[in-house]
Amino acid sequence: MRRGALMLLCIGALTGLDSAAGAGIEFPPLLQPAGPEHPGKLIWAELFTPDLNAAEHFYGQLFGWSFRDIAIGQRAYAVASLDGAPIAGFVQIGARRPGSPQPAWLTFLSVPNVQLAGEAILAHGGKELSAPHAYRLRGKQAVYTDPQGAVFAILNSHSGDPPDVLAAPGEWIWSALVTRDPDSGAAFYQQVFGFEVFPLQSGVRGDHLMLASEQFARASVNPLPRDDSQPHWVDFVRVQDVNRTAETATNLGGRILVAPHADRHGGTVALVADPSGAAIGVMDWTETSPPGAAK
Amino acid sequence: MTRLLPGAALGLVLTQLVSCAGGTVGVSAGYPEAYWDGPDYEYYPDYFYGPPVVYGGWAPGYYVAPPRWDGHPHDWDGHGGRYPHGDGHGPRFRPAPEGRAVPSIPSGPRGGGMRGAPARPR
Repeated sequence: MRRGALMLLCIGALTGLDSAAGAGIEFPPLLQPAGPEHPGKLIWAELFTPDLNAAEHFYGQLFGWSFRDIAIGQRAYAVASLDGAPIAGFVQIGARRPGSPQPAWLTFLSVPNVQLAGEAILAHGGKELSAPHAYRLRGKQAVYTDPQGAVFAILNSHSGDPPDVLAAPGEWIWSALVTRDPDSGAAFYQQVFGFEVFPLQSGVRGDHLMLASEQFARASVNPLPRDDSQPHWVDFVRVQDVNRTAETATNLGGRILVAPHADRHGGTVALVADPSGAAIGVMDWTETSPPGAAK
Repeated sequence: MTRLLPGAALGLVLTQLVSCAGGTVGVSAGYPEAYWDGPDYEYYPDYFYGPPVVYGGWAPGYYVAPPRWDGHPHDWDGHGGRYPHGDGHGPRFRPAPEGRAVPSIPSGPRGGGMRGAPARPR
């Protein structure tokens, strides 16, 4: 009897806690246990897609991600995880039609203070698309465009940021900003995030620059290769074999946007589109620098 | 059983108190109230209106990847004479000091906490 009453208490407690957590949107924390922050780092990304099920199948097969649905009101939302660690969010958007949002990945960069970073973004010519909002376990986030129109988000994770270690296959490894004027683009992100800016050698179409923080490379800034495009961010997932990943992507209903090719790290990169058209980069990275690596 | 009912009732009361506290200040996560804007019931992700992005078009030699850490200091003067600009104006950003080693991505093992390449003095 006494044991039964204790069980009743436990059930009651769990029910109560669950009702508290379920009072609204409850995104999981980025890290468990918590760790330090790494300002300027790509720490999260969200895919906006008209077909959540197709996207889960595609990315699950491509990167080994698993998915868990989160209640966010009218829309469907799933958290993608790799080995139990949250790595991305998938957001259902309306079916594609003229004027509807374009399926795309949204890049989340770490900031120590969303309010202050937001003010800096606006002060330097950015525009706010989604006002700062704090989620209990995830942290505070907001969405902006930079002065040239590239969309990005900032996030102060309540649990800290993914650690500065070599990304495992299936994890985010790199980001690239593709923009009309890399020079002023780098200046904007430096003013907001405090990046150091380094030159990168690339013989094609203007300057390629690199943004660094905490003595780590965080992103490249590159000129738009086509005049008919808009500035945008591209995030890269580390894979073991870029060629095989690109082939798998096409077999799963995706498309190759940029065929696998050698890049300055001495490895291979490619750009693929998922079945809805959202673009994502894939990159290999060997543990040691290969001889004769491109600089 | 009847002797245990008051205990159960007390437990339920405590449960509701914990529940309220959790819903107000995020006690379970230990975050201060100011760091949570309260419960949400909708997530507005319509960020991507506007001219569509056309991806791709990367010609051979169009590099986007990070460099490898090779320990060499960078050299703005060796950057094709691009910086400072030929017209006498510098870049709009604040260049990393000449001589600072070009960093690469984090390469340490998981749990190792290895830092990147140390900054090299000028």
